[in-house]
Amino acid sequence: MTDEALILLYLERDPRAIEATREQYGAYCAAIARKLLSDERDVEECLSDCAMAVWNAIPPTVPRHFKGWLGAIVRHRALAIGAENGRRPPTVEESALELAAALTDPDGPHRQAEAAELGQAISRFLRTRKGPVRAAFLRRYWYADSVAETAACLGWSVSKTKSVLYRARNDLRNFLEQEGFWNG
Amino acid sequence: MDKEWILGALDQLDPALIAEADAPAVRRRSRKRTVLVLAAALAALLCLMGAAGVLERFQLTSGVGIFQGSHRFSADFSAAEPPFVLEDGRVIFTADGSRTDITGLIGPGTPHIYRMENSALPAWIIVGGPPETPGYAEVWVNQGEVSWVYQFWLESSDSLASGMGQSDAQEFRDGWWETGVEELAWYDAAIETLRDEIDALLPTTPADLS
Repeated sequence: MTDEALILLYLERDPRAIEATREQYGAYCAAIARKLLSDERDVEECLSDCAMAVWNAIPPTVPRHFKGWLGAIVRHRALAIGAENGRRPPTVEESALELAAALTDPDGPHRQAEAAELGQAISRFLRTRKGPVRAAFLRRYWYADSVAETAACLGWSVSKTKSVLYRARNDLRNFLEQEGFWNG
Repeated sequence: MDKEWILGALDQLDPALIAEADAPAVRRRSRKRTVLVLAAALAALLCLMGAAGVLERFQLTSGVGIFQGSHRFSADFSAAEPPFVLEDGRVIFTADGSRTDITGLIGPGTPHIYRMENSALPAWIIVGGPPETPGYAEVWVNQGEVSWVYQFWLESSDSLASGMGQSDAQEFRDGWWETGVEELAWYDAAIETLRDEIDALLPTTPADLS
């Protein structure tokens, strides 16, 4: 079933939409949730919450990129559950700290931009990168893969992956600086 | 910067990017055929002084001017000449004066490596990339460090890009020479091939490294 057909089921309030989504993207959603939650009960709760959230969101929302939109919902909910329960795999904290450390301005107070504003800027930055670099960045910082998992996903060595991520973080920092994120 | 804030910001990424990264195009770099051409002495040899050498200002075979001091490393590409010429769609290697047709020997991930024997240490000229727009690199070891310059055609801006860099022994062993740049896959492949050879020229003991 195409994403368009799936969305149409939601728009028509057809309950088969939920099952079709589970068939098509269940494994993808579960993989995201399992990366961000260490307890299988939390994973089940997350996926259940997300099924309801998607049902409630469409309509009125009509996502242009259903898979990524769905993944973002799962990630958002999984992070919230993990924060509530204090049960997050170490990789999540590790990758977030790694990125946060690179983006901290050592020379002065940075502008506390809205998270949405920063997210949009990171998207703009990623569009300027080559596909493999973009994928490495997202695998590590969005999907919370370990460096070794990121390397395996890209077919790179661990040392190369570290090197690419290091450069990407520095480039992102420079990009955000040019966009005025540190000068506000 | 707060990690929760970062996690929240990442929630706002473009869904199209997120989906794309779920199945990245894995580009496994295969071991490509590497051609080693043992060089005769060249008129324009890079005159390295040995691993503990003190050479600071010199010109590479490719014509790139180098200043390599203890606190400064710079490259002047103004007189750079590629080690090849393009003739009727063929890539003719000229650095050794042989005019060897290397068209079929190079590709986006496939380098042609030319090894220069000189007074104490080897250096390498590497040619690679699409035969229509090949790039080249020159790599040498001096003062216990690996250094390199390269020029290649950058597809995204449709222009010639120049680069330079150097690694000390530890950085080199940690893999910092890898560029990760798609257009430089041939260069990364060449250094991977030469890795052990270069490694053997670098300091090994803590005392050497200090």
